[in-house]
Amino acid sequence: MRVILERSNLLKSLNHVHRVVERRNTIPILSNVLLSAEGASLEMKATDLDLEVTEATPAKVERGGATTVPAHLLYDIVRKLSDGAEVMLKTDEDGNAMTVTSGRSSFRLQCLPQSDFPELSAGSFSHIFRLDSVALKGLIEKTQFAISTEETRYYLNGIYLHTHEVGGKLKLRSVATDGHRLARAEIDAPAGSEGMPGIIIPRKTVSELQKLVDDPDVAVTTELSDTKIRFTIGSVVLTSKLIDGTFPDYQRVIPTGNDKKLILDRQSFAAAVDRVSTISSERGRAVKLSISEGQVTLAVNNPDSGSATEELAADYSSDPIEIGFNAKYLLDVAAQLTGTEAKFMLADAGSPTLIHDMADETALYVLMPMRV
Amino acid sequence: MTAQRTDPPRQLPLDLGHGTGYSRDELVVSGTNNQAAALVDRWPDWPSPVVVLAGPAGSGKSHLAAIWRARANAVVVDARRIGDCIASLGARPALIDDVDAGAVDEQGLFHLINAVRGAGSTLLLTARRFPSAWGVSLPDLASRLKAAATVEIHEPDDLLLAGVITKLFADRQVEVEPHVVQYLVRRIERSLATAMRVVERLDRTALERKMPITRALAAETVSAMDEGQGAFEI
Repeated sequence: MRVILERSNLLKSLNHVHRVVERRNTIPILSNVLLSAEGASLEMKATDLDLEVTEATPAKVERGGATTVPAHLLYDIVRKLSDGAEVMLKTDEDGNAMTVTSGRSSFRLQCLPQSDFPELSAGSFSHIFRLDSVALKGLIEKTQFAISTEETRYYLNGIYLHTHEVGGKLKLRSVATDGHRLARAEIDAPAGSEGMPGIIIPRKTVSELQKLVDDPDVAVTTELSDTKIRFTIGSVVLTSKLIDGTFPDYQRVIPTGNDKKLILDRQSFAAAVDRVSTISSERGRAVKLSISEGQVTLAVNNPDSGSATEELAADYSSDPIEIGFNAKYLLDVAAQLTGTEAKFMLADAGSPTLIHDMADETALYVLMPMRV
Repeated sequence: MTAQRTDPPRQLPLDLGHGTGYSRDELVVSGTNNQAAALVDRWPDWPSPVVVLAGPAGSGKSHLAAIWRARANAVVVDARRIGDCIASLGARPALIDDVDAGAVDEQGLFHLINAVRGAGSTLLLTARRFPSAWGVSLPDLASRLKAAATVEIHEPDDLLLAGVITKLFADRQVEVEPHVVQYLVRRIERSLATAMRVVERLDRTALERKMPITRALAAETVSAMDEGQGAFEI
């Protein structure tokens, strides 16, 4: 293999694919990126056996071929080469090493044969639809923060994507929960998504996808089956296994009868929560909200260091209520909201609270209180 | 409640619920329920058109009944409204789960048994107690029930208890190491109802603290239950 390409093209593609490669690998080939030169492009592929990212970039192919080299090493080298330079990648006659040459720099990397590189067989997909990247980004960003990181509850370690009929219209919904809070976002279901199975997209795939959909003008083609999903975003193809589990019946935890309405200025509320929680301990980050007509008092009490209170004007006219929440969860939700005001629908101190984004009716958050 | 005021703040978990696996593959069979499982497996070759499965709460009666219902394509009859179902039953087998949960609808049950016998069909009843303890006052029904084949499911042995605990965790999609299950089998009261309670509580506590179900957590939960801190305040 012998190819010459722009350093910036190579860096951009490597940046997309190298992140999939885990820093520590017991199987050496999984540390490597597969480089295949053919026609007028160089294709790069990386995998962790659950997730695979492929990207092709224009290149002058003087001699076609394929090999694998350590992904992070190659990325670090290319990153440090001077901007605007050309890079030549050339394998030895015996295929055991690859030379990276740019200007006066030259690196020799050990290769592993491309035949050892694992293929994530995608099988056939039952559904295909197109989304614009802004819509997909919304589905991800509004829910991602609520994904569970507790590994034994694997079925919560991702975003649940499914279709749901609302008032006769089909919606594509994303839901994530860690058992303490839940986030739900929805968009109009795109053509082709009708009848798709409900799927759980793993956390790592979600976070890679999020980095790939930054470009607002790109349409994303989504293909999926019961076990795999594939996103094609421009020249990048991301294929991932899905979580083999059943997402809980989340509808049952979304309260419908909460009748105490509290409307707050989002930014002042977030700032106040942040201020009073300074005093709270690492372990129990509870903040107590004492809500009465026109006012909320936030209080934190830490037996080891002291206490803090702050008063906040609010739009509230129901019976007074005291309810505790984890300050971090309140801040997480506040960070997702886009409107100037946040609407809380409360029932009592032991029941789930509903939080709406006043500027975006399609997003919804459920927060379980803390006993304080 | 005053004692709890001094406790550190506690995060309440969402009640996400869980499914229950009712397939034959998920049924745990041991010496205590193999007779009942065999009876369900050999349908329609039954000793009597009416069969009663009797056993304590959580002993797997509903699970066995669900397996049988799927196999026999049986109609589920509501124990409180037996009369309504008889006309539409035809020749299909019938199932009443938990027939002794409330007062037995004696007239309804009597007519149902007659209808089933008349159609050459079968009826499966599950109950916590033997038919003789249901307090039936209608003599004709009592004699019909006497003629029914009754199979008892006993209190669990270690093997069944371990199998059931593993199944209960699997229903909740929670991975638990076998040594944790063994620990629970040795420490809890030997009843399936206790096993269900301890699994429920462990699952909730683990979700509340966002941690895996370990032996240490199992030990804490079992001793808290032994000390009578039984119910959750939700």
